[in-house]
Amino acid sequence: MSYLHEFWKGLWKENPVLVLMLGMCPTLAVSSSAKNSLGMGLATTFVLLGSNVAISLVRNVVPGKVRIPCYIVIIAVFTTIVEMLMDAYAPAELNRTLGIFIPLIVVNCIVLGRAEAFASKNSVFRSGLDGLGMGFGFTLALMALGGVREFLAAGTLFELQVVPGWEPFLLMKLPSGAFIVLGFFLAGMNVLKLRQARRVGKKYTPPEIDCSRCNICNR
Amino acid sequence: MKDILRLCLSIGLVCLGGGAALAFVNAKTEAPRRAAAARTLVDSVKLVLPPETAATVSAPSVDGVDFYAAQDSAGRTIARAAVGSSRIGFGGELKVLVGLSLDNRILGVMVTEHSETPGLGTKATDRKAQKSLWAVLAGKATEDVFPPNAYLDAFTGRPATGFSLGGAGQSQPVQAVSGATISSKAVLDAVNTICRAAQVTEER
Repeated sequence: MSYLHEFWKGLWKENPVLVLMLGMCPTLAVSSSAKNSLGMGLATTFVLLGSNVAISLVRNVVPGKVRIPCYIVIIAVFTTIVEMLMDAYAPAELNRTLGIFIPLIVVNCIVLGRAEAFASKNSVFRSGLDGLGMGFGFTLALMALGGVREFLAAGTLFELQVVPGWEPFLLMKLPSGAFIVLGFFLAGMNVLKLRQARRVGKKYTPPEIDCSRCNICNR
Repeated sequence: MKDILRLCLSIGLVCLGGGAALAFVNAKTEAPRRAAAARTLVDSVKLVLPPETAATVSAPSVDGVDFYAAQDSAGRTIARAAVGSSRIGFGGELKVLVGLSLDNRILGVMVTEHSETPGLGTKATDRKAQKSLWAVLAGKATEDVFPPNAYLDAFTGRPATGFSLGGAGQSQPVQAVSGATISSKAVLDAVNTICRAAQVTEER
């Protein structure tokens, strides 16, 4: 497969949030505004890129029995680096909002999922591209979600007013709003896929939660 | 036995490498991190102090309230700022920053940290200017550094001797924001804590 595919697949075909359904916790928690989504997405992208490359580098050295603890250590190192960099250089307001979610990137299933499912089996370059693609896919999905929620909640985008005199819609700003908007997004994905399948004359059944879509436990 | 050694060695090496990387980044970012933390505090403290303020100097804390002395360009103290907190917010702790004049009147109140409900509790805590996207695109947006908030502005100009929520015969009443009573009370609680600490420092 081409190198470009490793990057592109994360953006749409295997989008971590909308297709693989990974990383739901940060998705629901920080997608209250477009700005927070962008910050969280970029922080996760950095961790994904770093951890994928590092894990791919040590994949032949680390014994299989202790690979998960080793991966967690590597991911934790990159997450802590992100935390320190954000403390030093990020805008104070963004840092305060994302503060409690940054350490949680360590246990973000996207990061560990890609480490186990991809980086531990592929070359350094491919793993880097995969991390970058998955990270951008996560960022885009989060921003779409955050943008819709922020617009519906306050009529603003990136904290700039788009529609004057918008009646505040509090539900959208709270976590329950994230569930509702995400539900519509997933329904939209299914509609698109149904159409695509019909065009080529196939039948599409929406995926159920099963082991075939995830190979973390190598079943 | 040999296997265990191998496993321990590989985990140990990974941890060692990770530790080294962290130590390096920690050393590199230590100064910028401290500068950023100090800058954030100074920037917000300046908002509640008179415009003549040239420098802010940390002063001794009293009862958990941190004081800062504002000095003009000649080095004379012209006002004070105090940061106090309250734990009775709807979302837990919130931090309030108050500017105090030399005759102990309130110059400005601002909530610097909170976790109140967006849209409800934040009516009593947030000073937020709404910039229009279209104005920004047209290049006509203006920066309002200290936007008004009816509740927080109710304290401004009054003597810092303690406040109470409404009620006839009460001293220095302020009107709580409807729909944000708990957040209003928490802000009031923090302001009163600061007032008490300010009086203690006056007596010294």
